[in-house]
Amino acid sequence: MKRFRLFASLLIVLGLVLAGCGGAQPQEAEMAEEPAMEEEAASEDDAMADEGMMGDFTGQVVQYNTIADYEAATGNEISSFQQSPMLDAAVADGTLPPVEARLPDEPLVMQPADQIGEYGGTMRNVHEGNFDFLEDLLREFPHVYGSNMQGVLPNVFMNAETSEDGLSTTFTIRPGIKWSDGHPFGADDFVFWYEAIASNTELNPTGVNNMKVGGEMGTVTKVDENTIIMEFKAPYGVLLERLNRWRPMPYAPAHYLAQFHPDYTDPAAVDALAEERGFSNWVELFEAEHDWYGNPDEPTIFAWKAVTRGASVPVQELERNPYYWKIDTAGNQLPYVDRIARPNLGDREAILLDVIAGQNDYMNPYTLGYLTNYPVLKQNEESGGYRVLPQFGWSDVLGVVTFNMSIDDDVLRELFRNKDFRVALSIGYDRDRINEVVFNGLYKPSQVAPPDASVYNGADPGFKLHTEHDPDRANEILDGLGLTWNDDQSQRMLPDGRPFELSAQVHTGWVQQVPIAELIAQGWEDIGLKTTIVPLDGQLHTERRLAGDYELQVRPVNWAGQAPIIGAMRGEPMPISNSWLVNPPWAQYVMSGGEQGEEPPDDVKRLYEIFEEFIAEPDAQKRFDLESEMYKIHQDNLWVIGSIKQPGDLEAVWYAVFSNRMYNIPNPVAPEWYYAAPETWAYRAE
Amino acid sequence: MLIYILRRVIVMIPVTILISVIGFIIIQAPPGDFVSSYIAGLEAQGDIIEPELIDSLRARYGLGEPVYVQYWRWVSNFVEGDLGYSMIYREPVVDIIAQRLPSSFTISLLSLILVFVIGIPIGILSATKQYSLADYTFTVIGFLGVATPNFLLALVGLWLLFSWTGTVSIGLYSPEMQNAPFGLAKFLDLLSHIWLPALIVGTAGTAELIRTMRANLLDELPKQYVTVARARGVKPTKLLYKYPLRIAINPVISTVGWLLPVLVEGEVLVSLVLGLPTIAPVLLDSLMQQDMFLATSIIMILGILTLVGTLLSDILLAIVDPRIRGAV
Repeated sequence: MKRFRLFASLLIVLGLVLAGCGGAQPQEAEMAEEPAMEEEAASEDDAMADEGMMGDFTGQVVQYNTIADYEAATGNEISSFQQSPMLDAAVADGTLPPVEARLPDEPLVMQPADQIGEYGGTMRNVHEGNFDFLEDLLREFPHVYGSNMQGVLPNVFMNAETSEDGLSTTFTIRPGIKWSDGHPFGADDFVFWYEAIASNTELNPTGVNNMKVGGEMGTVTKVDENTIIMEFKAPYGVLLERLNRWRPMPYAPAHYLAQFHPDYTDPAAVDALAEERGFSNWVELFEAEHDWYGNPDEPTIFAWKAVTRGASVPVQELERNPYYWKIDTAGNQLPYVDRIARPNLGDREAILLDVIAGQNDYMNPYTLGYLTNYPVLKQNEESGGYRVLPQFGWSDVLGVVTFNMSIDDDVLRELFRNKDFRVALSIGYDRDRINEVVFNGLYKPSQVAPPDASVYNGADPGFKLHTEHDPDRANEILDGLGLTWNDDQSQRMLPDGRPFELSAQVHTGWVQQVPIAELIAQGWEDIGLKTTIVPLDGQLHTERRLAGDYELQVRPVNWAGQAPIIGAMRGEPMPISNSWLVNPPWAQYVMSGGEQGEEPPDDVKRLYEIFEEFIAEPDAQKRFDLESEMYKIHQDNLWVIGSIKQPGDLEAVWYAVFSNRMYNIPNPVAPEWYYAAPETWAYRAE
Repeated sequence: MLIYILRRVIVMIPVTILISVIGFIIIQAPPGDFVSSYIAGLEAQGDIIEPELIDSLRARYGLGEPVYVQYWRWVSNFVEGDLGYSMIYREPVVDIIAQRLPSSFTISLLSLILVFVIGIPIGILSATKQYSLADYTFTVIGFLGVATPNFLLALVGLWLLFSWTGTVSIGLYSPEMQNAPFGLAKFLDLLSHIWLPALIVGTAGTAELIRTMRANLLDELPKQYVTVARARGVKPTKLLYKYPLRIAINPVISTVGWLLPVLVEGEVLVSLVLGLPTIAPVLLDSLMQQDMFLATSIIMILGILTLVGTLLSDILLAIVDPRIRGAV
């Protein structure tokens, strides 16, 4: 028996030791190294900060359309071009042309935020799955929005000229840009996108919204290798503004994709290829091939190109595009960072831990949960070797109550459509309390509104109407509507005698929505309206709305009003979407010219007119007036009730996390990553 | 023996069909489909959705058809080895699964081994030293192991490891090893990461195995043949291994069958928390976004593998115990 006991305990000990030591050794090694690295990093940082002070680096990326522009603006000269050492071998053995030959005739000049960067490094950017936030790094819109919100700047297009009638615009494509395989990029690629993709009824059955004015698609035609004309049936005044967020990109590599398209290649051959590759039709094949994120074979003009295939790989890898067409002010071809590795961590808590441990090189505020995790990130800033940088943010209004104005219940429908009833609900709960309880007083009570700093002045009292908590008046209004109390004074009754009970479906996509909704419901309870909260996942929430299967819904809403996002063109405030949050049948009516849906009040018709006029209007002041009118209409009608607004907006209210290995990060960082010019970020080798 | 195996294999066929039907129906059960979740995503970006787009997307993926038509199309392709096309990843499903299933099963298998290596000796110890301090200790640990959900253990484990050592054991490789070619260094790196998930996944199984082993052995130990053998002076260890243990181990072997699904299911949650490149994140994504071909295929394949595991454990049992062979 003794021998057995010894044997058993030996086994256990052995098991534990085996389990333990596998992990322990490398961890200790890392521990020993880390402090040394940090010290080095810190001293380098100081040196670099000094260097930065001597130059005219501003902490923000400054962009010059051409080398001549840069030289004219600064008096400095760019006389030679350099490339990443990663490419030296390929150039030496002749597989890659020298950097001068790879750059376009007119490279775009980017002055980095802090200093001229060094080449190299693998930036680690963990993500939650699929191509989550990869768009942040891989994007080249025709125009770009400046990283410190300076406005629309040239990018792929160098120049744009609109005809006097506003019907056609001529674009000059930056000459000499090359696809990442060296093939020239130009007008043909835009025309291919238009003809083979945008106009193809199998790939885009309803066309492409960005190309539509007055419900009809415009056209793209080639003038010469570097010039295209976009023509529309009606004036398209906001075309230029739209080009800095034009999704998907309005160009595609014709020389590569033609082989997968039945209009350009024998359809039988395309079908055969699709079948061979395991797809059921050519559309699936084409979409898999036209995928800059997941198809390493497709040439790109982005700063990095995919190395790994598909979204489902455990680690997505990217590497620099040797033909990238932007340079820094010293003539170095961008980007600085050679490679990007994107491991897929399925869980947000795991991502948070990864960030806190300093393993991750940059992370967006969305994945980090916005304000929720700010304290824990800040607390570990030093030990983790990263920094929490402020970021410009958009302003969402949270806890927005929408009503089902087409509900299949005559009494409720009439109530929901009654503005007095909505006003009573709006003043029936305490927004200050929500602010204190959920947001530590950092947010602002408001109806749905543009940002405070917007040109539309979201701080205007008009956006604060009916936001004061006034239960007495609310009770008065409800009494006046015939919603009498029941016998034991516990809740109100509907005019037809049923007890008044509401159910509010809450969008759980944002963590704070449920607590907000609960506080709203508490307020309503006190004025006799019993409300049940039903938390629903985002998708289910949308599904219910599309099906009209709800009474109230609570969700975040963004009415924009702040470039580059234009409120008058968004589906949330405007009746231009089949699932308009005010009342879908009204939107269907105006969208179909009266053929479908239900005839709406005149104000809704006016909103649709505003939308159409806005798109056509080339004059900025007139567009401003139109959008202001849109906000006024919403103020007057109070179709939806807003609760609380994120503060700031153009102030930096969000944050993003960068490891101390990263430098040249604009501070504050632009709100959407592709404006933060990741090609100018640099990685410090350890 | 051959007849026994044959019979087991035949029984598997209706079970497989049942799994496919139930799996397909459950995935279809929630309201909405891939298109509605896709549209929810577009709307979140502020895009304007036209009704024609919704209809055409549904038509493209065949989502408008009745469920049995969709099922039949899927299942007939499945039998031919065509698992369909993932709508979220825009890749053939078979590629995605082939890429990730191996690491899922490495972890599950490793856990299985850990479960046995840790569970059986402790079970024996608990039984032979019933009501000793060790027995009580392991009983408490065992109950904790059974009661604590794996994903919680994973989170706690991650956090403890981080606060003690300052490193985060996320993923199967360290950041610097991620892109390295596979070699000895990378293998060691893998070992240094895989033990945590394997241990966590195996915790519940280990705890259960300890309990089973202890109970079985306690049933055998007081039997008369043990007393007789002991009276005749057979050495205690030899006696234990030769007689009661061999009988007590029977149910343990048959548990391999049901341990496997437990491990696979545990692996899914733990992998999510620990960020492992297994099938788990893909399964979750596909379920959340109702990518039905991907989700159903994963569930189907996990189901079939579990059935195979059960078959193996049955065969193993038949080899170990002649009575079962004879019972056919």
